[in-house]
Amino acid sequence: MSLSEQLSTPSTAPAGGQGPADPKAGRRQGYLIVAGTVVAAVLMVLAAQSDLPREAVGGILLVLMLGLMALNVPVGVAMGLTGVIGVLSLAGERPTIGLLAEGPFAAATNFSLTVIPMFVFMGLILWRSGVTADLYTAAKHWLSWLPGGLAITTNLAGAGLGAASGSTIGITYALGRIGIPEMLKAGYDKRLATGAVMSSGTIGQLIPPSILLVLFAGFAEVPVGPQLMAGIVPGIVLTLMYIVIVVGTVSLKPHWAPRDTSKTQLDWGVVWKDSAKCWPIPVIAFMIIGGMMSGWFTATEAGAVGAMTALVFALFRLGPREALRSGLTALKDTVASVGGILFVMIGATMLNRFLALSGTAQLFSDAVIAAGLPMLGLVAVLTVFYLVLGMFMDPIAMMLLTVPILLPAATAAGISPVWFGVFVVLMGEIAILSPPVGMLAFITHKITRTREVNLGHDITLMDVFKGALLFVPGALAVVFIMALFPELATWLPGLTSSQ
Amino acid sequence: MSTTTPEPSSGYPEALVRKRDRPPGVNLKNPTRWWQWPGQVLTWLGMAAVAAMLFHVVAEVAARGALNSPLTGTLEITTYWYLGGIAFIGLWQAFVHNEHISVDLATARLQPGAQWVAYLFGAVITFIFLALVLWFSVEAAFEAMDKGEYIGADRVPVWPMRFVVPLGVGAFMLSLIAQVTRVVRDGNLTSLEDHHEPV
Repeated sequence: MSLSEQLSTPSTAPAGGQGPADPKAGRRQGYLIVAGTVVAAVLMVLAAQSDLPREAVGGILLVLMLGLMALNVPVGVAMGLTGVIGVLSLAGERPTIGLLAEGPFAAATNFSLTVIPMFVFMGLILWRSGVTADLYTAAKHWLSWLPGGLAITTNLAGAGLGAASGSTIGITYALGRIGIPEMLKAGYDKRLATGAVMSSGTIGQLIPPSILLVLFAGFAEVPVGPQLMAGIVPGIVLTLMYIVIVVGTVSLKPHWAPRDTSKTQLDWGVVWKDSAKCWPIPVIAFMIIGGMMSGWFTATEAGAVGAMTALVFALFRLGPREALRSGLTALKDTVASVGGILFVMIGATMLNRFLALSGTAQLFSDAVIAAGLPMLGLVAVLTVFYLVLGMFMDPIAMMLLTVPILLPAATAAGISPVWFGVFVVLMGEIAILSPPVGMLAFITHKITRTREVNLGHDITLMDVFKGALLFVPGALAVVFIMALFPELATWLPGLTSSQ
Repeated sequence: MSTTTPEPSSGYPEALVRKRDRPPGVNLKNPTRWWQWPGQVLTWLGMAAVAAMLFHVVAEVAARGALNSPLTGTLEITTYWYLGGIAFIGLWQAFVHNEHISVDLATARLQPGAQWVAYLFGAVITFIFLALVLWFSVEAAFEAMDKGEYIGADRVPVWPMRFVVPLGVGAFMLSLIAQVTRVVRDGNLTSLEDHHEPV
């Protein structure tokens, strides 16, 4: 399947797109789809009540769940309801009532997850205090002399922001608005400019604080601290890989990134002053990573101390009035964000109860053992699987849906859960880069719609996807390297737990 | 790679962007009608839970570092009180701010009318699920209250937070009803698009 084929299929051609849309157009079609779904659902539920083997019930209800998701039912609801129906079919009424009464509360009040509000809050505060622009300026002073220097600047700023925020899309937003116009002004190719921004965003979920890694740890019952540590080295390797791609691209196509010939003398005073402005990033990164490695802090404590540091920084930067305002807004946004994340977590936990009963995961891992795939082979299969799944699904949903089914199989093949966590998160990040859904590409395209960002250049969605595809091989290469050298992910956590 | 891709229809990429990932810009307006006050109080409680978690955990670190005497029950309070509060108030807030995760790849390609029907179907399914959770979590909450449920060696009471589950889920259901009423009255989904805050 060539990528150009994928791209050339019309990705969005809703009938409503041509001319003014009639709001009632297609209602009949909608009723038919819904009626069909309901009939299919009833049949599936009835089938689940019959004497089918447990594993078959598991399979049938998973199809039902995917159908609900396809009809835009919130992922948490689709998963949770499927879990309820499944437990009712396999275990009867009492366990189902127990699941409904106990499941949501038990899923949400998981100590591992207490770190998520702290990480989210910290990212929001830092963002408000304008640290992105500072970081970009400082990185530019140091790196712009390199071939494709501004693209490398963007990548390293992305890694730096990744050490302070766990939001891929947040980083892409912030860097896109600063980095893209800067690169276009310097005569960079629009594909390189947008690609560098998007790839930078993907680093954030590997380098702690990473919300996806915390979710994985909570769900797979792996300690959070080591799981977060596991992402550091792969995150750094990913950053280096992106830099290699930039340098490689620029040496093949020098006109994509004209060298800065102005030869302006660096004013070292300015360089140091601008670099010093970025103090919260290394300080927070040191506190979180160092604090957890040394065993001073639990992950939650590291998150809280980091968030407090971010607040102090905002106070300095914005003044008390504006800092208070930003703080309150960030509190409110944190509640909604965490609610959105935990709803999926609740649904996934309820679904998992059913999957455990059905033995579907067991069947799967037995099959993997029977197939006798070597680890590399299994990773290759899983990579393809996640690439396909990632074309349709949100990374969080994708991870929580597949982990209970695939993790037992992976551990049976000798893959460590911590390694698997980093792998799944990285695959999720690749997924949001690649067409046809490629959330990150749509967002970047949207950022480039304003004149301040595109500087009058015409940047199409196709350009943005081409930019993303420039960097996807780099991320896939990191998956391959991680499969060859699993120690990249397991080495640091091993150091932590030995203390 | 010379083919061009049609531009996405408006609303499609935006629909994929959850608000958590956008620059914050919520204004903290006070409610103007009496029936908005309970929601406002619940919002404040959620915000307070985040702030309390932050300060409590930092105080724990400070107490352990400086005084060498950890506070009692921090772990239990953080997990059951603060996170429990954030989670279930957040469940409702995430709905209000359109932050729940869903997959709109298939429905985004449907005609507007079909999208409207699919929305109503999704709303009904969501309502059923929430109603089930509400019903049984109320029972569980009263049961826990009668038992005086607590956790850990420090006997931190847990049962009051059991009531946050039906509270948050109930608020979610009310907001869902309000939204569905609006969508049915309009006969289209434009009022939902207005919910996306401009970036």
